Amino acid sequence: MVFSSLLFLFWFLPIFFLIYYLAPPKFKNAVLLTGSIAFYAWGEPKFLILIFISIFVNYIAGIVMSKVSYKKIVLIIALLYDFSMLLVFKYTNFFIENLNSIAGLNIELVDITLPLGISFYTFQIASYIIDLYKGEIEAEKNIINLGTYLCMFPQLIAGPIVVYSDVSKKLHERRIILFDIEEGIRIFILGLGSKVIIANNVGSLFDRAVELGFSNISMPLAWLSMISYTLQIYFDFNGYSLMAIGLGKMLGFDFPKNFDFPYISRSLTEFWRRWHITLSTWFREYIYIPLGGNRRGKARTYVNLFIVWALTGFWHGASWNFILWGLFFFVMLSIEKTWLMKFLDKNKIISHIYALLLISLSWMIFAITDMRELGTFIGRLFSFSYSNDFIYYLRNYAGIIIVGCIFATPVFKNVYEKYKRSFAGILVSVVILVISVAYLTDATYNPFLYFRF
Amino acid sequence: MKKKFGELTEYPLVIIFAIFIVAFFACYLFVPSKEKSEWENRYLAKRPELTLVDVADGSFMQKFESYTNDQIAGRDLFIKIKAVCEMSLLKNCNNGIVRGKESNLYTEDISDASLFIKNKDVIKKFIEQTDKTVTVAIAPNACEVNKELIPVGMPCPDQASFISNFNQEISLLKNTHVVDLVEALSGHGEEYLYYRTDHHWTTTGAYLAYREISNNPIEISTLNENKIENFYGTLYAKYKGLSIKPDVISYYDIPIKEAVFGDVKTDTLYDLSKADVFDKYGLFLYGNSGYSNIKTKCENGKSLIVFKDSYANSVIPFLTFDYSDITIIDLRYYGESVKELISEDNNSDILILYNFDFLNEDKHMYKLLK
Repeated sequence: MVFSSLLFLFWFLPIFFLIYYLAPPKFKNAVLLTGSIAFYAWGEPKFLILIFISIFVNYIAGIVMSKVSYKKIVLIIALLYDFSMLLVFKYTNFFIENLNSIAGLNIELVDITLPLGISFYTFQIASYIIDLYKGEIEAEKNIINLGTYLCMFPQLIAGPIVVYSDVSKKLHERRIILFDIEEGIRIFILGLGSKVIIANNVGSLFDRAVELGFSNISMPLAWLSMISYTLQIYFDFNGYSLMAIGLGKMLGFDFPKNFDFPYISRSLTEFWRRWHITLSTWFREYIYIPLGGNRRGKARTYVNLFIVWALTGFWHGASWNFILWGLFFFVMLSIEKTWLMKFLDKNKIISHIYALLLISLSWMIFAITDMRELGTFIGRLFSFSYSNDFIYYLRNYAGIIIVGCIFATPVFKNVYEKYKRSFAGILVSVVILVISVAYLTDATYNPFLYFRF
Repeated sequence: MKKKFGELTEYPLVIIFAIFIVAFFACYLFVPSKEKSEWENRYLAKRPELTLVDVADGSFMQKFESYTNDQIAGRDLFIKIKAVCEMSLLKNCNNGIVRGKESNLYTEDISDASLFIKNKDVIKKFIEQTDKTVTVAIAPNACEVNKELIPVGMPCPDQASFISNFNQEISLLKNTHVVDLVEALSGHGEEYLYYRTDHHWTTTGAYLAYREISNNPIEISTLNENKIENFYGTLYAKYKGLSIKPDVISYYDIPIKEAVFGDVKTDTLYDLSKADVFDKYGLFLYGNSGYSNIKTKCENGKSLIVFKDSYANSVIPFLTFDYSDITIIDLRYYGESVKELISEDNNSDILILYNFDFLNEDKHMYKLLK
């Protein structure tokens, strides 16, 4: 099930929250777990078993770890299980394809679909078991609580990646107050609007460029479609995260912030402090720092960065372009680290243009899986070819692109935060909600980009 | 409890949101499902029955989602709201329908016309296999004829050149008569040849096509014209924006002896009950049926077999002045063998009359060779 659907809004939400709020505190986790299982099973019942096993394996590992002295072995076994599942279900065909082309073999591809949310929940459960090993948290004794943590429907499918220590306190005891519920509703509606009104609307332009064929589009249309994809992926993913955070608040949890206006960054280094924050935090905490971070000399630091960025890219998808995308950031961040940053700090306008340009280009590496197609597209960006094909698209997308650009900056938020509890603020929420429902009712286009990961 | 309730009033958004989702939920539960959506011309999904088999293979979930989307309370209003939002974003396109000058509506088409070319080859093969005289008439759509009204850069294939290539190839075959409808319809300036809100041509457009097809066309001024106002067509049904002027449908009094349109036996060419519903164009020849036959008042003994789409429905009434007997085949709904139909009588003429968009979308043309 997806949040941005009438089914979720008008069936799941009323039924679930009615039961959840009425349930006595000690049953709330059980209700949440059951609801989350229903939420997941609606679309993909067959992969539920994977989550169940994962909960079970890590629960046992946690209990064992808290009792024995050979903690490291338990940790390794649990992590081996967790990541081998991710590898098998996400990357098998990628490895077969590459083996075939390198060794000239002809192994047949296997028929595996990616289990929904596996990239996200694998990282979450890994955080639990690693923190446990480090002694930073205590083992969860109640399997329902652990299951609730892992399956909680707001963040089960597409993040934010909530580490166990973020929520362990609230898992055991939480007060649900109206103030938080109202704030949660407000954030949820903002997220819904981001996704349904902006992302879906603006995103169809890039798809259109794909349909037309990159070699047939004019230079202005290539730029327009790149801009619209850049806006789409932000509003899509940030919208999803906001909906998750809002729902979390309505449940009584506090999920960490996932986006902080990434497109106002003045460098790619800053961009990654503002984009998908929970993912970059996870990589820093559980890969970069354990590898030694920057404490083992310059050369080792760059090796570590290389590993982290290659993995970050690879996490996003089982395809070379994602690795290239990650390495693009490795190269650019390294350049920024060594000398560019000083220059960027001094030049406000140039640094904004630089960051936006490279971020947009990076999204093209991200979006276009086929290397040759990517080459064609970048060629079109600088082809200096003209035809009037873009006039029609400019006419139809300029409005939403402008809306997107405004909302990608904190301008609206700064005003809204002041007045959100006033009559006008509430009216804004209601209008966004009604318009979102209108777009969902007449939906011709409603994909979630981050479901592929 | 009372205290809690008092506290609740301090959080109006909670109340509004709760009422909002519960109200829609209640509507799903208690408001009976609607049977069909007239303006979309389709049946709406109903609440599926819960069976183990359907749940196991996931079809229940899919059906339930379609039901939820189709039966939301206030659906038409929401669709309208969306259309208005799209307009206020300065878009001239909603759901693939584009608003041109003078509030004419067009379908956006980014296809490379590959299906059109495929269907052309089927028609060529058909002509090569038959020994009868075949008249071929391919109608351009509004976006070709009203070129100056469509928005700049709107994706639309160059219909004139596709049709002209088509005509050229067909005219090389023996026993064919090619009618150039692009030529016939262009250069009529401001004339009302296509509906603004529907994908069909008007009866005026249809008459111009008829003049080219017929050897001895009847003068339209000798016929009595009737008008049906307030026609909002298929393009409007998808577009839904504000301030679109409705169309007017004309039909002419043309008496016949008798006719069969699918299951209907009648003695008129027009189903006037359609004048009061959304699908007003359906009044011509009682809509589309696989097999229809008209016995006309023309006494020349000539007969005609027409293979056609809905564009032909408003042309055929005029053709009743040229033939005593007209058989009409719509391949989409025709299950019998075309070969047998043609071999049964051997003095019929054949007319193939389709519009460009149809040929570029239709996947039933292969039946022509069966």
